[in-house]
Amino acid sequence: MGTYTIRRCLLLIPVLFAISLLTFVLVHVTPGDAAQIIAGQEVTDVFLARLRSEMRLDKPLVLQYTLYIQDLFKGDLGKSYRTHRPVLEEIGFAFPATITLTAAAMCISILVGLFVGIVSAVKHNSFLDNLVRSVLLVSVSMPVFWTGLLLMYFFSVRLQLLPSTGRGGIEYLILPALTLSTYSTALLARTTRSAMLDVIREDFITVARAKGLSNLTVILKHVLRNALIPIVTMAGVNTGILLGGAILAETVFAWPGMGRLLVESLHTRDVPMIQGCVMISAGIFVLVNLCVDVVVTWLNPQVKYG
Amino acid sequence: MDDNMMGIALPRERDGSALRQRLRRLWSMKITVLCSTVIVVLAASAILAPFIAPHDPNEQRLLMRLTPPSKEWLFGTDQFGRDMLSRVIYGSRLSLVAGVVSVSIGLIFGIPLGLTAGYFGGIWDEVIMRCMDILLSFPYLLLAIAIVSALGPGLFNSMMAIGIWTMPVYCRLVRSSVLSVKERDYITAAHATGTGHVRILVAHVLPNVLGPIIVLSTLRIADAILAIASLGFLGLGVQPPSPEWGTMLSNSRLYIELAPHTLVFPGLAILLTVLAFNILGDSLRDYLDPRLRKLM
Repeated sequence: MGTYTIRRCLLLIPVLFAISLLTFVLVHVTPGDAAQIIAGQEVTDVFLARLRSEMRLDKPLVLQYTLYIQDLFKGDLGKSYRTHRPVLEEIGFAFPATITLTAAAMCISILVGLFVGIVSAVKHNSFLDNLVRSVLLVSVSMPVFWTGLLLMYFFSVRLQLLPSTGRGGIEYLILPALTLSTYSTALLARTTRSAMLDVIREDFITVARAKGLSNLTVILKHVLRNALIPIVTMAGVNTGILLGGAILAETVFAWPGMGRLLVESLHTRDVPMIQGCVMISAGIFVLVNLCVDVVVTWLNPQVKYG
Repeated sequence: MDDNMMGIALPRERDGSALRQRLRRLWSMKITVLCSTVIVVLAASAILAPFIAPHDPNEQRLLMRLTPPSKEWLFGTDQFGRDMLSRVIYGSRLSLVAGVVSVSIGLIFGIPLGLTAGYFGGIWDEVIMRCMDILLSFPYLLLAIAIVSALGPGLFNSMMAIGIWTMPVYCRLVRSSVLSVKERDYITAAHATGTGHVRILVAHVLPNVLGPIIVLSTLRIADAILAIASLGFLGLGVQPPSPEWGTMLSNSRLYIELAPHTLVFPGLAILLTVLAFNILGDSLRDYLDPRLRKLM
């Protein structure tokens, strides 16, 4: 178990390198002269040349990458082209907002998703189950930003119950978190339902019932415990969906997080910022998946620690 | 529709009489038929857009800005007085084409990579699958966004981005299927008769994977349409004035108080399209191979 965890952690290093390389290449093949974009049209060639060397654009791509990685180890992600402040500092401001939002959405999706999934599985093939399945199917087909706009319309514009944009107290968090959580809640509920149904059909559940255990004990202690693996695996997938979906939810509600920072940087072609945001999101996602893998092996004695 | 047209013996369920089973099966057929109809209607409206759209989707009438739905303007008009109904109809062109093309890009690259990785194994397999792992280690949509940021916004670039984002899923699916048939006797027999690698892959291995590929493609078209709309909403996809559903919604956000009708119809169009592909994919999976439920 211990060695397995260590091995998985070591395997993380090449993955992170590859992510940084891919991001670097993607961001740097952008057509057009980055120096020109920052400086604008009305500048002298001398100034442009100085800017280029400052931005290391005059060096070969391989050297640029090497220097970038060197800086990365020092915790330096470069400076934003737009605000001229360190990328890490800018992301540091936006990061808590994104984490609050995704964590809130994660909580909603786990609470609601598990509950709905369990109820739906227990009441298999009932009217309630069919209703839940239809609602879930609609939820996974809804564009995140449309859900957000509809919620914003009903709760902010019509009922004027909740603020539509910005960040502040808990009332600002409700709509964005609900919006972001719909898709992952539906996915988690579907996974929970089908995982529970697989286990419910097993013989040991019949035995547990025959022993005279109460329905609730059977469901929570025997069925859910054995259905946990796919559910936990899904939580890892959901992290990715939440991190990506946050970009959309933040744009709808003008939530000052990393997603909005990324979209603004994309529009202004702020290369170091784009790179920083993408790297950090991917890094978090990879780390969460590592945790999920470790938890799954811990839950499942059958998986070989290979 | 005859409920036994597929000739598949249904597993007997613990609860429910035979009649209920038949009813349920009929219901599932009905919903499949309904979804196929929706998709056909969408495709038809995409093809026939110039004939069925009541107005030019890009014609601006500044005196008619943000008119609510009426007899003349069934879906109302947008902030430039353009007819929303016509724009939604033309939008189905963009979304369907983008969905199908981006999934095809994923197919074209993903299938050969998965086939050869599974079939030849060894270092080639290792290299390809590690590359796919890297592509899969980006959160949802982020890889597509990064690619679009490199290529620049636009329809073609978004389709490329979503295609590349789809590719690893195909690659993994095909590879795992190849691994499961590789050691079968008929493959060995094909080898023994001197059949070449390419022919074995195309004629003997590929047909085994077709079912899952069809199911996956239907579901992925739904995802791709959502992703295209999302990129459009962020201003990274199809550029204005092209009538794209996601782009239309990003404008309607600005007029949410003045003209809420502008946010209803494009969103509804996306939802209906994606829902139809999702349900069709689900039913196809249950017909073709219920075991796939675990994979997708």
